[in-house]
Amino acid sequence: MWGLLRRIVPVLLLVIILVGIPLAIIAVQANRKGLSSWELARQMISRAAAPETNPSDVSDSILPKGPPVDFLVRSAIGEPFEGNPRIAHVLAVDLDNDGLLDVLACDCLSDRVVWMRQHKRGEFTEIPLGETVRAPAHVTPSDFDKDGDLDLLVASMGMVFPNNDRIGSVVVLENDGSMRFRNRVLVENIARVTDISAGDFDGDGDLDLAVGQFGYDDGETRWMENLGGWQFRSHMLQTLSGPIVTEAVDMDGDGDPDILTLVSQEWEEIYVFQNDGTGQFQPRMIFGATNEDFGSSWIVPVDMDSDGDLDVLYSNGDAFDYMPPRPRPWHGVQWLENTGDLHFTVHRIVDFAGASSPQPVDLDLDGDIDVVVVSAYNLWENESAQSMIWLENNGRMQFSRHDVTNDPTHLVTLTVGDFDGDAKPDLVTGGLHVYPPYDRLGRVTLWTNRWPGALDAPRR
Amino acid sequence: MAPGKTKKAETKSRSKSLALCRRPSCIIVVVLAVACGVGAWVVSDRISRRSWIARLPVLPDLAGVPSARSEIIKNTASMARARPGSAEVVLQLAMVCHTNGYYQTAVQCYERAAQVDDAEWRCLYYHALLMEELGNADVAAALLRRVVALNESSALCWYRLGRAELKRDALVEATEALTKAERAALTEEAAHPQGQATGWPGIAAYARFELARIAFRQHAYDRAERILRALLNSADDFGPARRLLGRTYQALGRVEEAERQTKRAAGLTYYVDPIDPWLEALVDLSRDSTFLLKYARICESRGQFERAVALTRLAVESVPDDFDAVDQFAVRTIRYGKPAEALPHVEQFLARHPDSAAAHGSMGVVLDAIGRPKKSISEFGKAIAINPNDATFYGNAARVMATQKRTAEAEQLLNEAIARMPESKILFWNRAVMFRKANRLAEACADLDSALAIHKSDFHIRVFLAECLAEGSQWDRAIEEYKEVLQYSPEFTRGLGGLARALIHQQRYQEALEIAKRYVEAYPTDPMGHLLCARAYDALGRQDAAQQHVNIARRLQPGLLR
Repeated sequence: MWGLLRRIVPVLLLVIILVGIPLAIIAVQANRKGLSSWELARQMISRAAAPETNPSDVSDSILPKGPPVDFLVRSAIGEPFEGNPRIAHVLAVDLDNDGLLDVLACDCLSDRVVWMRQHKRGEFTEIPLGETVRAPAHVTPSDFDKDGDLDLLVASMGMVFPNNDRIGSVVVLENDGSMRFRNRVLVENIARVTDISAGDFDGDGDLDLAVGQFGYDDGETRWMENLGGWQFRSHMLQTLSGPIVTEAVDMDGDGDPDILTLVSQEWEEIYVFQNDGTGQFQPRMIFGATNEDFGSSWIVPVDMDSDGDLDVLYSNGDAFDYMPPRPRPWHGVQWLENTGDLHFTVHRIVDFAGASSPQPVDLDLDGDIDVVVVSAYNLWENESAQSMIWLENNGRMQFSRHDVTNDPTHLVTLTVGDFDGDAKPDLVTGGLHVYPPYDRLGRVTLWTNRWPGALDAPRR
Repeated sequence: MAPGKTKKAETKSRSKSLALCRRPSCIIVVVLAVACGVGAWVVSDRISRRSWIARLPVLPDLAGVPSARSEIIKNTASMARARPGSAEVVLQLAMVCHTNGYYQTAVQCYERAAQVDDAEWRCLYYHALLMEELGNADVAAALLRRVVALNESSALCWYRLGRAELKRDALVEATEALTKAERAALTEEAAHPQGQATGWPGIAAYARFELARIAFRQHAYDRAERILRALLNSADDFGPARRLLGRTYQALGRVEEAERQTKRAAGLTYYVDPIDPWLEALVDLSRDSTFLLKYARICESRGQFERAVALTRLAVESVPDDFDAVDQFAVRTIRYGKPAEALPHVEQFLARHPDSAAAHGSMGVVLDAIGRPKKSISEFGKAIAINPNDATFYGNAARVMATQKRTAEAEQLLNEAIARMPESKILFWNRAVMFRKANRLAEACADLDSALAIHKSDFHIRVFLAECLAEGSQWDRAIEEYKEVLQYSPEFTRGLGGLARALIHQQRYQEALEIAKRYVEAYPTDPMGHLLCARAYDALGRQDAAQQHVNIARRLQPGLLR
């Protein structure tokens, strides 16, 4: 027995020394470094430690970058301009119903809403509509009086630059049927109006109005009940400053129009005013940022993921509250996925300085929704700073970024439409040049889509 | 045990040990064991370090990035690679990436640091701040819930959680967090009464404000009013609260009170984040001029002027080619009486960008501030030559010319400027200043009316207009304007004094006395109020009371009426 022990003990000792001590050391090391012993041992055995990486070989870009876009052909439309253009909004619409798409533009330099009529394919003539409207910020076509032609709802800010005075007004340019427009001021001397849209909120068969009033310290969101005979009764929905988008849209899918609003300033919130069908609204905040400098700039209700409900495409890139305006690292584009019962999940798409007016559009005709977005407040001193980019959807809601242009700069608004009748969506942009540099000016620019892919053969 | 026996046993044992040691196999085993141990240690150390480094995110491409920013990132990254197992060092790298705009890298580092030390709440806190910047309140709230679990006595952490919950529309959770924030803040303030002596509202005030917002959202306007009134009792100048009180009165249908509060709020600051020492630590690591200028502006809003200048200086030193940084440094140093400090930065910028009109304009402003008006005018001339469309250059040149008594030229330049930018109230203001100095008071008033037409609620224009009207003997209109001024700021000395004087001039002595009394009540140690009281009492035939106020005024400022 003793002899057996004398032979086994040294072997055991040897085993303990050769195996136990390294294991103990590994355990101590792992503990000291915060790894599990197994992890450390596995790496020792497999020599799986990754090679040290060069700290400068990968960028921090949030999106894969595709080749720059070369299939959008640029041409200026409308009157030649002098000075620095100030277009606050552009919209593609066939105003005269002649089968050719036209452009409406809010020109804050001339204080006019102008119609760029495509009278012949590819030829545009600029026509001012109605009388002047002070700092028109947004125009919405609507057959408001139900006489069979399109009238124009115009949001008048009174002044584009920050101002707390009650200088805004709600204006309807009433179409007499022969494309002559008469200004009807529905309400004036209110906080600066930034957006108007129409919907039958109380279910009485006529169109009412949803109005966003940015103000400065004292903004409002209201709906105006149409009493007939151009008489209205205002109902206040909210008294927050900074509403910039007010859309009448059925967000909850119950058949009546709700009101979707984007409130910027220090709030940076998105609300749905849920309508019970009789004009009684219940506010629901569907997004809020604690960053009071988030720079909310635009929202578009759209079914981004084609699942049958409305999501929200949302850009934050406004920097106008500082002079000079400077982009922020958090500027960009996201979409809010509707997960039911007015709950939304945020999906960031891209970081993009000064992002504004994102538009859902299948630019490459592959059957999914891409996004084109412009920038009003990029670092223009940097030649590579883009004023428009295309975010190509791969069909799985994953996007890659393509630069489109850096000229003109200061693009605040974008609209989409097939202007040349080739079934490919074209783009129109508007420039709001209110701060330097003034070296790449543009007023209203048409970007004709020359996508080379066949229309009947989606790329994927 | 007997001593002799013990010794014998020890000797036997020792000789056995020596015998064992003498055996070559044992020595080999020991040496092998030690070698294995050391080898395993070294290998495992190296592997684990490499493993840790591998878990650190790859740094962003720093090519073309200003050297100050790339250096601080590289240096902090080197430290992190040397001590990848230190949560503190990895957190530092995360903060540097965060505050220099590399969000993706920062998020990875925050997550790594939190893995290293799951009790280090700051990793979660800064990560939450980053998610707040990106507008993701859901993730921020989730992180902050973990923060308060680790650091439950921090008012600031509860406050941030409450705000994030509020933005998620989770009003119950927000109320709970904000109530805890308020309580924690009051405890902190009681424990460190000196620590709150910044003059800026503390976390308790902010928490109350957010609680009032919740009450407002819930249409509980009476509750909102109660909270806000209590809050404003202790923080009279808290702009967002006063604005919300105005809205609350509006919702309650108390229109006059609403208007009064709204006007009072007009001159107060907008919402500015509360003072956050952890955020300050983050800002100190920034070499990104956008980030630094943003926080400089916030500091300025809070009245932290030195900090504002220091951050702007850091911005201009970090990114000397950023004109906005250079220009804002010039503006701030001028504002705080140290314009000479800006001069070398503007000169260096101009040396690199001689064709920059804006830089020549900035140089003109600095030269004027340091007392070199001729050179200043020359710089504005260069700016105009490069960019004749920018009204600012004309306006600034005119301002300097006016100080040189070149009034006609100044007027001409201001006309040019106004023609180029008719929506600028500042230009009308500047021309009014010039007219006033030339005693052309009617024209000054006309310009101020134009400025008010652009911005009716601008308090400062209204004050200036009231004074010009008084100087021009348009007393009745002056009285109206002064009254309007006091709507915006009920205790504004120039408003109270001006109105009392105008009323005395119009022989409306009783009204003048009321205003003078308000002056004295608001500023009991200011002799001016007492003198106005004395004049009003005197005019009303109450010489005793008048004499009393004269005596007080003399006591407050000996030799005043000598």
